[in-house]
Amino acid sequence: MAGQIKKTPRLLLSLFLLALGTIAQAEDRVHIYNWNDYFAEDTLSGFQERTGIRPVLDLYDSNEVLEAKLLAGASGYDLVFPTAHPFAARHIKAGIYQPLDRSKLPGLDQLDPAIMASLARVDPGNAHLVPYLWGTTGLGVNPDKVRAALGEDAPLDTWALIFDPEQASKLAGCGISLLDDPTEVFAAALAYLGKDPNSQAPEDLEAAAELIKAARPHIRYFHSSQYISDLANGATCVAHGYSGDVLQARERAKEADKGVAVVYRIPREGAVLWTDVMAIPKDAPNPESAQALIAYLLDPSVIADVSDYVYYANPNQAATPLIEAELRDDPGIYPPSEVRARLFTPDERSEREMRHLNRLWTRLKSNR
Amino acid sequence: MDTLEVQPLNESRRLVPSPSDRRPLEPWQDPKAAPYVRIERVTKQFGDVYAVDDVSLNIFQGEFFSLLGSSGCGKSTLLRLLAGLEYPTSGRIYIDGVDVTDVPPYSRPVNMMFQSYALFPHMTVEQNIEFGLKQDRLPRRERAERVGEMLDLLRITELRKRRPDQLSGGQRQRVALARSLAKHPKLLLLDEPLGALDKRLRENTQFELVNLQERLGITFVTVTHDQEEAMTMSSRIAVMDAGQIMQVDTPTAIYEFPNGRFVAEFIGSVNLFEGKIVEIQGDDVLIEAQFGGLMQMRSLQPHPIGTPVVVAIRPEKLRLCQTPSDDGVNRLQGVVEDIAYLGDVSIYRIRTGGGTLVEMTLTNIQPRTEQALTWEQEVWVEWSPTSGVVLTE
Amino acid sequence: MTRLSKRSKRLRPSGEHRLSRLINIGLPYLWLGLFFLLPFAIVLRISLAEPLLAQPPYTALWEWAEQGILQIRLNLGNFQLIREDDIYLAALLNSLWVALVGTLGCLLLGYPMAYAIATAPERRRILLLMLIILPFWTSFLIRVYAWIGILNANGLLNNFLLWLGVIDTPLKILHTQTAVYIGVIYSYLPFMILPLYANLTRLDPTLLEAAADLGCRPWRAFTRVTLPLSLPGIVAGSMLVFIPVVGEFVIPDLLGSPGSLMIGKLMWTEFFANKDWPLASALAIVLLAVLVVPFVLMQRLQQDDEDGRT
Repeated sequence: MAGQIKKTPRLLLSLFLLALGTIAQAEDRVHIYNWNDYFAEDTLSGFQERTGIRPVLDLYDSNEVLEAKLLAGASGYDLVFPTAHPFAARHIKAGIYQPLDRSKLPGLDQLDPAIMASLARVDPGNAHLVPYLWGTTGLGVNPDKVRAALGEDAPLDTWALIFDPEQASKLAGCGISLLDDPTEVFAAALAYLGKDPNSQAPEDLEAAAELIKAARPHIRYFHSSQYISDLANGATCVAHGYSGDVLQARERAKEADKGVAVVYRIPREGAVLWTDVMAIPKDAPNPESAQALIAYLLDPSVIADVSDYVYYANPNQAATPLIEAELRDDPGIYPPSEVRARLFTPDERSEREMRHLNRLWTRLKSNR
Repeated sequence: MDTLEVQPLNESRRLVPSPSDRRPLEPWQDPKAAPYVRIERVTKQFGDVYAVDDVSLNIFQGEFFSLLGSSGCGKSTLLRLLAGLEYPTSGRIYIDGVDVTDVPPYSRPVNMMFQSYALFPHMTVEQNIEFGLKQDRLPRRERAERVGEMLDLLRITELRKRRPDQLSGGQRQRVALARSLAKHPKLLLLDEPLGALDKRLRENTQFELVNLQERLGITFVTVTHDQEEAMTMSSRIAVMDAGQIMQVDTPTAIYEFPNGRFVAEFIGSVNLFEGKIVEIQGDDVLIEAQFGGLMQMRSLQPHPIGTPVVVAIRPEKLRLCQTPSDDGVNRLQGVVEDIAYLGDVSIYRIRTGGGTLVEMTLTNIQPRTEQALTWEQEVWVEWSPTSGVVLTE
Repeated sequence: MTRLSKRSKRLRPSGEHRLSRLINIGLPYLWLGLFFLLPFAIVLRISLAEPLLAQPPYTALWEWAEQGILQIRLNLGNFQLIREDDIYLAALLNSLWVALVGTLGCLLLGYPMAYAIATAPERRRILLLMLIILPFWTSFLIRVYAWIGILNANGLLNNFLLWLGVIDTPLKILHTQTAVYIGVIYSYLPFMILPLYANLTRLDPTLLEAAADLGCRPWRAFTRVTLPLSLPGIVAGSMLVFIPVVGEFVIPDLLGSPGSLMIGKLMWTEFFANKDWPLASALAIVLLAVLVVPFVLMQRLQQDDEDGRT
C-alpha cells in the first residue's frame, strides 16, 4: 500500500510530462485538409525535412464537404484548399479565415498579377487567400468514338457535343457525363448560348435550364469524379470535367494501353477558369505552421513539382520555367493567350440564388 | 386457475384395473385374431448404431400397449417408426393389414402425442385441436363440432382461447391429447405421455388415460421408462433393451413370471439365488443353492439335471421367522442389517451367512412401536416353492 | 399468477436493491436520452432556424433582447417548403419504394438462405454464416464500387453475357433504378439473414413432425407452422433493412440514375451544396416521423399480443 502511494505522484508526474510532450508535439504539427491527389509524392516529406514540422494530411473530394466542416466550426485543420469562386469568397464573408502575415510570405510577389487581381475582388488586399493551382473546366473527349458517331471532321472543342440535341443524341450511346455541379453546368450552358456566363437575369437562367432539360435524356450521369475512370477505360466518350482530372484519365488510358485515347479540350464558346486557394481557418490550432507550409509551397521548385505531378497549372511565374516542357506547352494546362481570353471566372451568387439554382438543378437531374 | 388440472374421471374410479378383468378375451392368446399393428423384423440403424434390432411385434385392436425400457433402448425409435417419422432400415410395418412401411407420416391413419407435446405456440388451444381436421379439409361445422367434442372430453373448454404458453403443464398435456385424438385415429401413439408431469398429477392422469382409452376403444401404444406407469395402464408390456424386445406379456406375467434375469431385475426388486438343478420331483425341481442350502421350486419348463439356474423371488414373497420351520429347504439364516420404514410397508435387508444381502418387504400390520424386529436380530428367511421363478440365465 | 406475485414480493426492496434497480432501468434511459433524444432535439432545433452564412450556418433560436425580453424565433418555413414543393414528397415516396423493393428482395433471397443455414448440420452452419458475414469485413464503399465494375456497360456482367451470346449489345444496368435495387439487396442481405437465422434455429423441429403427424404435407407445414413462427424474425430483418435503406445515400449516388430522387441524396444536397442545414434538418425530422410511425404501430401490436397472454 505504502509503495503504491509513493508511486502515485511519480505516475502523475510522468502523465503530466507526457501531456506536455503532446502539447509540444502539437506545436510541431500542421493539419492539412486538401483534395485527393493534389500534392506531388514528395511535397510533404520535403516540407518536414525543411522545417521539422510534421504534416498530417486529410483528404476531401468536394468543396461542399470542406465547407460543411469549416462552417460547423472547430474542424481542427490548419490549412485548407477551397476553390476561390464561389467557395472561398463565401467563407471570407462568413469570416472563417484569419488574415495572413504577408511579411512571412516572401514568394507572394512572384504570383500571377491577373489571378491576384481576380482574387482581390472577393478578398480585398489579398489578405486571406493565396492561390495554389488553377485549371479550367472543359471537355474530356474520346476522339475516336466521337468521330465515329459524328463524322471525321466533327469539332471536338465545343459545348455543342453536349447541348446540341442532334449531336448529343448521337453520342448518348457512347456516353455523356456532366459534373454534378449547377454552377459549372449553368456557366457552360450560358456560354454555349452566347450569353454572359455570370448572368443573373432570370430569362437567361430560364433559357439555360431549358437547354439542359433538352439535353437531359442524353446524359448518362452527373458526377464529379466518376468520369475519370470511365473516360480512361472507354465507358464514356464525352465528359464535362476538370482539366487535370481529364489529363489524369488520359495518362491512365495510356498506361492501360487498350487503345483508348482521351483528349482535353477547352470549348471555343468559353469555359470556367477556377483557382484553388490556400487559407488558414480562424480556429486553426497551429497557424504558424500553416504559414510555414504556405511559404514552402510558394517556393518555385516545390510548386513546379506539384504541377508536374497533378497536371494543373500554378500561378507562380517563377515556377513556369521549371515545369516540364511537355506540360508547359500543353494548351490544356497552360492555354495560349487567345484561349485564355475566352476563360471566365464564375461570380458569386447570393445565397438565395444559389439555393434556387441548386433546387432547380435537382429537378433538372431528375427530369421533373 | 388450478382448478381444472386434476380431475380424474369419477365414473369407474378403481384401483389398478387388471387387464384380464377388463378384457375377458385376450386377443394375443387367440391364434385366429388378426393383429392391428404388425411389426415384422424391423431394424433401424443410425450409422453404426442399431436403435431397433430385428424387432417383430403384434399389437391388437383395443390394446393399451406399452414399450418399456431405459433411455436409449430403442423404444422411442420404434414408436417413431410406427408414426412414420423414421423409416426402417429393413423389415416391414403393417397397420390394419396395410403395408405402411414407406408411407409418409401425413398419410398414415395414426396420430401421436409428443413427449414435449409439440403444441403450436402461435395457435390457440382451439386452433391446435382443429389443425389436423383442417388438413383433412373437413367442413367448418364438422370441425367445430369435433373440436367441441374434444374440449368436452378433456374438460378444457374454458381454455380454448388460450395459447400454449398460458397453460400449465397438465393443461398442455390435455391439449396435446385432445389434438392427437381429434382426428379419431384408430391408433394413438404416446411418447412418454406423463413424463413431463409431476408425481401426483402423473398418478391421477394414469387412470384417466386408461379410462379414456377404454371409452374410445382406440388402440394405444405408449412409450415409457416408468415401470409403475406401464404396469398400471397397460394391457401388455414389451420390455426393451439395446434395440431388442426382451419380453412381451401382461403386467402380471411380466412381474410374476419374468422370462429372464434382465426382465426380472428391470421390473421391481428381486432377490436372485444362483444354483444348480440336482433333482426333479414332479412339477418341482430341487436346486443346490450357492448360499449352501437346498431350494425346492415350481418350474414351468422342464430342465435337465445339472442345469445352472437362477431363482428369482420378489421381496414381498419372502417370510421372516424367528425359528426355522422343519422341511429344511427354501430357507436362509441371517441378521437384520437395515430397516427402511415406508409407512405401509417396511423394507428389511438381511445379511446372510454367505454374505449375500436379501431384501424383503413386510406389510406393517401392527403399529411400528409394537414391531418385534430390530437391528442385528437373528432371523430366518423362508419362501414357498411357488413364490418365485426358475430362470436359466 | 400467484407464483409471480410471490416472486415480486420477495424482490421488493432493501435500499441496495432499489439502487441496482434504478441503475438497471436508468441506464437504458440515459443511453436513449444521450444518443437519441439529445441529437433529435438538436436536429429539431436546427430545423426551426433559418440558414445563415456564418459559423454555425443557421440562426439562433432565442435571443435576449433589451430589457429582459426573450425573443424566440421559430421558422416553420422549412416544413412548409417541404410540404409545398412536390420534389420532397416524390423523393420520400421513391425512397420508400426503393426500401420496400429492397426489403422484399432481401426477404425473398434471405429467407431460403437463412432456412438452409438453420437446417444445415451444426458444424457447417458456422462456415455458412462466415460466408455471409465475410464480405462485410471490407468497406461498404468498396463493395458498392465493386458493383460499378460488375454492372458497367463494359463490366463483368455485360462481358459475360456478350460472351455467352445471350445479348449482343451491353445491357444498361448501371445508373438505373435496377442497379440501386441490386446494390441495396446485396448490401443489406445479411441484416435480413442474421435475425431470420437466429429465429429459425430456435424453431422446435418436433413442431414440424407434429404437423406432419396431423396430416400436413411439407410445404403446408412450412406455410402453416414455420412461416408464422418465423414472423418475428421476418419483422426484425425487414426493419433492419427497410429503415436504413429509406435514408440510403451512397448506393443511389454511386449506382443510381441521376434522375432517381432519394431523400438521402436530397438531404445531402441541402446540407452540403445549399448549406441549408435547417431545411436538411427539417427533412430529417420528416423522415424520422415517417419511419417512427410504423415502428410505434408494431410496438403497439406486440404489446397487445403480450397483454393478451397474461
